[in-house]
Amino acid sequence: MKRYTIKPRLNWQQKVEEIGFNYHTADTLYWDESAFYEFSAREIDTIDKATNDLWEICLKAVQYVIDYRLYSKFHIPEWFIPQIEESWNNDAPSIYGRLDFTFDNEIPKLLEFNADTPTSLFESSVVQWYWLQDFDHKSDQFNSIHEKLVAYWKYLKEYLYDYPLHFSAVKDCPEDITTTEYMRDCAIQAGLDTKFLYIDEIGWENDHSIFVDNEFFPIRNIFKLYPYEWLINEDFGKNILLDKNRAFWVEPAWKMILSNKAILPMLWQLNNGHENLLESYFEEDKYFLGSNYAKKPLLSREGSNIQLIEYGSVISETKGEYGEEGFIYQKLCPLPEFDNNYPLVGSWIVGQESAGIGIRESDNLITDNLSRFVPHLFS
Amino acid sequence: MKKSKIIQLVLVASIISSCDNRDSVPEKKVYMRSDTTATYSHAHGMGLYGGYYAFRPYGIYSYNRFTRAGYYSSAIHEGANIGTNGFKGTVVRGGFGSSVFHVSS
Repeated sequence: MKRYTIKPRLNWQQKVEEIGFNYHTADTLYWDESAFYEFSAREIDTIDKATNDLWEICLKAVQYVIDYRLYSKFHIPEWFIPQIEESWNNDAPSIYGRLDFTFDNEIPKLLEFNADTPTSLFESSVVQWYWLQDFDHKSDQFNSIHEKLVAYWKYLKEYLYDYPLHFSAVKDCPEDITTTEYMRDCAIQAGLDTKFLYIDEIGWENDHSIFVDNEFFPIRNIFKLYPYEWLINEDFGKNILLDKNRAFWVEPAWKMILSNKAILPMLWQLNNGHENLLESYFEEDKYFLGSNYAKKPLLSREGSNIQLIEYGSVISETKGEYGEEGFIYQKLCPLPEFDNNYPLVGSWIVGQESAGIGIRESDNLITDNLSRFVPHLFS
Repeated sequence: MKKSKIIQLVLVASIISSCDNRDSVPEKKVYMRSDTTATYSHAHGMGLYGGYYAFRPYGIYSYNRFTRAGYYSSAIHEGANIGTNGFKGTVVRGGFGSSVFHVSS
């Protein structure tokens, strides 16, 4: 893995905006093509294999959590368990996820799994691909996300109800709307009938106990870019269990288990010594890690409320609103460093297989909401 | 397969650009209602997906049968859509979305 500094394309803002990418700059730069990362084919194969291997053990871990009813470790409320189990037992459709890696002697190590509402999908799938066509179209990029999304929606079609597939995201957030609309784009290309509505437009029809859209049409299949922990934290979420139509929610409720950082100690317990896992524990066993570890809330987003401890001292930490739900402890394995830039490799699973990577780079050891998306290629 | 051969988008670019230009199109003042039991309201916005006011049939699916109960438009105020129509009035919205403004993870 190497980092190169380069000159951005002339009028790069216009170029990315032409393909629908309008959140390239916030308070600071988000899309950063003044650099790129180069991987060897062997490194890409290693990431590819790690992603597929981890996906397999993740599925086994979900089964284990369900079999032994370990929901309290995940801070999942009792009343929502039937929805999780129903979605798992019915093999409810799931489309994607992103495994975040650091590296230890070139071996990918799982930092966390964004299994419910992973973003940076559009950047990984489309924006960096168009960048490569301009920069060096003869090079390769580990990126078949787009084809795999279209193909998997096509595959899922027969598992969905014969009703439109609704797509929903929060209002006034270009990043979330673009991610959701990109996903809808792929579903349309797969031949699905789709509709978009904002998350607060979802209606509950009391007389028949069903969800309806803003045209009073029943919602029976819905892709939502809105985390389960928020859905069930709002009173409206109780309706998910009362829904007489038993709508398919994509991602399915069982993904709550994988998107929760409690999965990390669970994976370690079930696969002790796995080369792509970092030793991880719950509070009661954290002493196994000694004085070098990362402390992470079960549900934090965008790197909030994380502490990195080295030799007993805090070397980096972030603030935020999370932590009440509990913490896990993970062996410290810092991100690689390139001239004070710290890249995090997000490896995408689409359907059941590894599909490509996107890199977010920070100025410090914790990847937060100020990180930059940097394109890549491999040779 | 590790590399995309070609990427074509049918939706994203046009959607996002229409979001950006939403305020730049001067609106005509049009007052409408979708239910005879409702009062008229100022129709606003052209909707995300087209330049017309769409009144769509609504109703309820029960036992695989659709019963039409009237019309609805997302371009007009809820009051002008619902009126005293009992069916529409049983729908509650706004229950999701209060947790936070941004989802990224």
